[in-house]
Amino acid sequence: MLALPFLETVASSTQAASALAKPPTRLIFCGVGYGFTEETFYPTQAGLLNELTEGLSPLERHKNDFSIIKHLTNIGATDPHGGSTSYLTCANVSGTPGKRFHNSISCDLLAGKQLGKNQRYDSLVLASKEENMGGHGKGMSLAWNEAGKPVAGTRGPVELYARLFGQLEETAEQRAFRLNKKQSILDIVLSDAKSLDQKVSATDKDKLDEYFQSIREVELGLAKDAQWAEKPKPKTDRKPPEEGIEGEAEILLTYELIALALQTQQTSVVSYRQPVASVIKSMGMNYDPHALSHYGGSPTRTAANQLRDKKCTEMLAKFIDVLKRTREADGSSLFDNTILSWGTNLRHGHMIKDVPAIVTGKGGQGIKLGHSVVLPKEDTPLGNLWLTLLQQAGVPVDTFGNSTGILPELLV
Amino acid sequence: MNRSLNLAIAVLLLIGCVALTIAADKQEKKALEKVKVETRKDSGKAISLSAETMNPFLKSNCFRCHGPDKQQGKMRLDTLSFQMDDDAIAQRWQDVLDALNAGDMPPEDEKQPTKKELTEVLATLTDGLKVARRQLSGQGREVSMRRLNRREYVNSIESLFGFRINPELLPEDDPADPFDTIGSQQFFSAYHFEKYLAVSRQIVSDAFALGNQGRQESKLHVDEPEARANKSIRESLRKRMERWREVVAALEAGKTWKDDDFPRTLKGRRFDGRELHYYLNFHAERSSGPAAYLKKELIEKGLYLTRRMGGRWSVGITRHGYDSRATYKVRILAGINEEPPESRTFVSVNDKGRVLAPLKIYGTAHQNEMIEVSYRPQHGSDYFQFQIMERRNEMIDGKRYVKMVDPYGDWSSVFVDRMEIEGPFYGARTFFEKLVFPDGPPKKRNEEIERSDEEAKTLIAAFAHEAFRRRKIGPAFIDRLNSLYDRERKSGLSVEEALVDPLAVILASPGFLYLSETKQAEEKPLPLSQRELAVRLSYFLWSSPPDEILYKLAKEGLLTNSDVLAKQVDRMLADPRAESFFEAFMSQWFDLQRFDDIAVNPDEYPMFDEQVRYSARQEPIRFFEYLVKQNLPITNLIDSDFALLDPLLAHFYGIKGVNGQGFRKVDLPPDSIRGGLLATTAFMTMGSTGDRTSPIIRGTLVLDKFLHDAPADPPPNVPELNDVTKEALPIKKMIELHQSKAQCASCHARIDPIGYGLETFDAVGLWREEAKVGKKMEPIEKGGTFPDGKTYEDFNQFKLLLQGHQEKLAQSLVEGTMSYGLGRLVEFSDRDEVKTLTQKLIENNFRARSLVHNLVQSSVFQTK
Repeated sequence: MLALPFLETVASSTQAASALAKPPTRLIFCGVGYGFTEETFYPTQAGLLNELTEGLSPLERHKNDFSIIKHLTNIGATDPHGGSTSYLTCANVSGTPGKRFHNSISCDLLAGKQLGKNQRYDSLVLASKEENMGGHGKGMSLAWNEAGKPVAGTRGPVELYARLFGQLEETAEQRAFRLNKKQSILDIVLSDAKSLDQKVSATDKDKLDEYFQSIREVELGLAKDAQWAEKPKPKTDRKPPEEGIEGEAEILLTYELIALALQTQQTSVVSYRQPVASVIKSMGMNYDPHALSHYGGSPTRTAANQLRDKKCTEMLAKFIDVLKRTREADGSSLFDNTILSWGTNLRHGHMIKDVPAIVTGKGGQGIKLGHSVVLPKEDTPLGNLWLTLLQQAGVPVDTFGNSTGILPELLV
Repeated sequence: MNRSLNLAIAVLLLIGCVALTIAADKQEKKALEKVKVETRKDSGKAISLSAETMNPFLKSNCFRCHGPDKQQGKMRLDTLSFQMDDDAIAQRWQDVLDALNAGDMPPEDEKQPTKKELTEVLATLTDGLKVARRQLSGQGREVSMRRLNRREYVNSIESLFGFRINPELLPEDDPADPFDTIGSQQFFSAYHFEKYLAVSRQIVSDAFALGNQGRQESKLHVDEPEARANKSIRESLRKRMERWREVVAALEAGKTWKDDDFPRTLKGRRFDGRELHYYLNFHAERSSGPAAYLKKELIEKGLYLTRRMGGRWSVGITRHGYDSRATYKVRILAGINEEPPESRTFVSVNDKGRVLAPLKIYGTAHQNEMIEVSYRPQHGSDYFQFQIMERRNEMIDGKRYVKMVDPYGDWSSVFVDRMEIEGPFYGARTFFEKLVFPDGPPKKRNEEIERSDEEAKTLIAAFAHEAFRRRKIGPAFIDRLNSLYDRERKSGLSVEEALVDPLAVILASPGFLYLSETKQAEEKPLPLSQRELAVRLSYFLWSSPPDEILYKLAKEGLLTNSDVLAKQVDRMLADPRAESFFEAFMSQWFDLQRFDDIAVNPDEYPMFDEQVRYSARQEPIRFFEYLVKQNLPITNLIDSDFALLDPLLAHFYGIKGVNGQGFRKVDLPPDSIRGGLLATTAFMTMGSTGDRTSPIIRGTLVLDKFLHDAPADPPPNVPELNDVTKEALPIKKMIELHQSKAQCASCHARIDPIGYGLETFDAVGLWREEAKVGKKMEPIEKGGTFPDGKTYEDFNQFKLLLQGHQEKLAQSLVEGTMSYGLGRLVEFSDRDEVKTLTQKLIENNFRARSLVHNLVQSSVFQTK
């Protein structure tokens, strides 16, 4: 992988005044999908991470720099196969009165509203092209908006690269024309939606509201586009990725691009719903993710699942490598300024209690690293972890989802 | 039909639930059967848990801590109503169920309920809550606005422009649960809008380009593969032999591959020891190498499909400049080389990776036969690239594969003399052609026709009218489109260029993207307007907008006439567009997505390859189509004396005498195990993990599809412990373990015995008499018990028992078609309508066509 020197162009364009100021704190949330092998992944003892479990062993070189937390449960989640639907929202998905389905804003978007205010993107929401196979459940990414609707993610490295570095060649006049025209297009579709709105029933009103809300989102995007249009996107030496990269290579490349996005300060918050099936395939194994996650009773599937566990942590270890060697303007590393959460909403099989949760990065300076943290209470709400991380990143919130407080055990 | 549900259940057995006592005694089973949820007749009243079951259990196990004296955890159960009138009560009972399932309550140091008590209570709560949830979340049977799914979008675009776009360009469909037509489960976001706008811009500008091109003359394009292929073979042979001689010379000179000046591979890499060994062998033996190929008899006439260094030679034909509005004829002149086993007489044909169909090659290398396939290219690229390859399992190395299936045969089993593409063949002029090019294409190809701004604006209005399925459109919308057009013109664009965005915006507007029926809030059900009925009907049976005939009948007010409507339904089902209904309805009702998701282990099942998968997926759909077209009873889905097979699937099943290409009805001998949907590769494979059978999934699917009694979603967090026994257990033993724990048994007492009756089919649906247990083979015990206590001895009796519940299958299909056709979930309050429709279907002797007719004629279909 490339070493990532600090980009001069960034310093000159986007943050000249504050080149030597302390870089902002970044937040990354990775949702890995499915779970890990009960017997060989999870540490059982609290305390310093000395002997790593087999599943965590690829993280050996970083063992002083991450913690793994035990006893977190996403209280409102009920569907073992809908692992990521409420992973970052902690909403009561199926038990909310009068609703078959309910969700609320995810913590990445919440953080982005705060931390990303002055950046090109409030937050980056990433997903992959993999459809319906990752065990992630409903949703198009890990992110859900304020109305509890799913937010689409950038699908794969090609799209992500274009968003980060693709530059429209246009004059100010052309830009004004483009933005104006887009606004008038939105007005047209809105006028059609409004004409429907006058003659529909209550449930259809909801549908139309969703449509209006979406158009409003496009408008907000236009506003931000206009605001940022003057400022060119950063340049990079990294060549655009080619189509068709899947599985392990896709995730590694995406990790690398996340680091670039953060380094060039296009955003401060990233969530990434990772592909699952294509990773297994790229490892040369012919299992569908679901069969693999129910490895019990089959020695061959158990062995294969353990290989997947290690592949996942191996990629995480490489991600940490990238963050550590990516330089910031003040000479610190990106790792020094980032809080990275890595995990999923499912332990293994149908267990959605005690979900895997790894935290790394020195951006939250109060976070205790190098530990296996065993929380005193079983089924501590997962929302408590998000609340802790949000606060550590400087987002002023007192409660999130089903949280009951922060996790003092995770703090030094 | 919830996929996660079924899959999930699989696990409970195979891994977990390891309690120690075995065997559910008969008394317990009886107790289970008694567990019934009492529903009130009045659909407005809430469902109630059986006090008879609940009270004794609660009294002896719960009230001491959660009763009048103490309310630990703020939970008081003695005052909690059994009648689940609202969500709060249901949620409380859900908490109770969760605690019992997780084994959290009663606490370990308290007296524990007996397994029998617990099983009963768990079943009561599970079933009761399932119904209550459905009831409480009812949406008043209202059909909500729904967005076109990918299939409907593609078809709607085709009906306007005459070409079929790649569905993957569109936003992904929301998970279909149970059908992709259900509006309440769809989401819309900024991403959707941007995506639709981008796609529709592309569509409109392509349509102008095609229109300006006009229609092409039909031409025949012939490709003789041998010239090109032999040249490349000879070239590669020459290079190989040259290098080989260098390598041999170096070895003779005493060098080894470790030496720096040792010759490198053709790719410029160093040899390593193993590679060199293989290399020398290959050239020494040359059995399948290029030299051997050149010795074959007919290489000047055609091409032998063969393997080459692990890869394969394929016959390809590339042709640029196709017209996506037309169909083409693809012909292959081919024959079989020598006498390979039948499994090597199939080829797969694809266009840029898009599979056309598996074909069977007849004739010999000397006496070829011509195969003709009609092909409709996808819009989006401008060239064909057909490839023909011998069909085989791609997961297995080619050399190993041939050694396995045909150890003494020739490396080549198929000889291809020639390929032809003829076309384009056009249908009637498309809506867009008629609208934009009323007098035909421009005289000068690819040059814009001259037209005024006024004409352009008329065109915008007319296009919007058709795209919005002839709904009345307010003038404000059209005015805005016109000003967008003016703005584009002012910026210097030509008339056609300026039309692209206005037309594209129409296709990104709610009027096109959503199917909606006008209705004021809180109104009582109203009859659909004639036009709305035409739209609902055509999206039900064609996933497309109405055609001219339907619009015309609607306009004349004739569509609600029951005879007219019946005639139209018959006409529509006979139309090729009905393929959307057969495919989309059947694949979703039967959960074929699950089949698509299973990765089959190639080592265990080498003959199950992508071509078999392709045909196996088609089988249930073609079967359903046949039942509808021939108007046969739907009870054939349980068992039938015929099957719908193509030659490949017939070969896979070991059925002789199925010739030709494609699917056809095949009469089965009386002792055949095939017939119906159960005995298919599609069903049995989805009821497997890909390497072994899953009686749990099979049982769940049978309960859901055929007995209309889907078990509740598997509860989360039921401990899945490791196998207590380290050695492998026969499946039956594992199922017994499963029954031994109340948390599992409360559902699995119903599921497992059914799935177990299908064990004589392996994981890809082939018949077997024994199964592997650990390392040895053991005979499969046939026979078992149905949930109602009736026993069966073998698969035939199993099907007979299912036939005893035909009305359940009828209800399952009635609800399925209703949900699919209306685009909404079937609600608790639909019970009366469902009952009536089911009854009618039974009175119509279960005829498949009545299933559709009855629904379309019903008030539920004709009101909004």
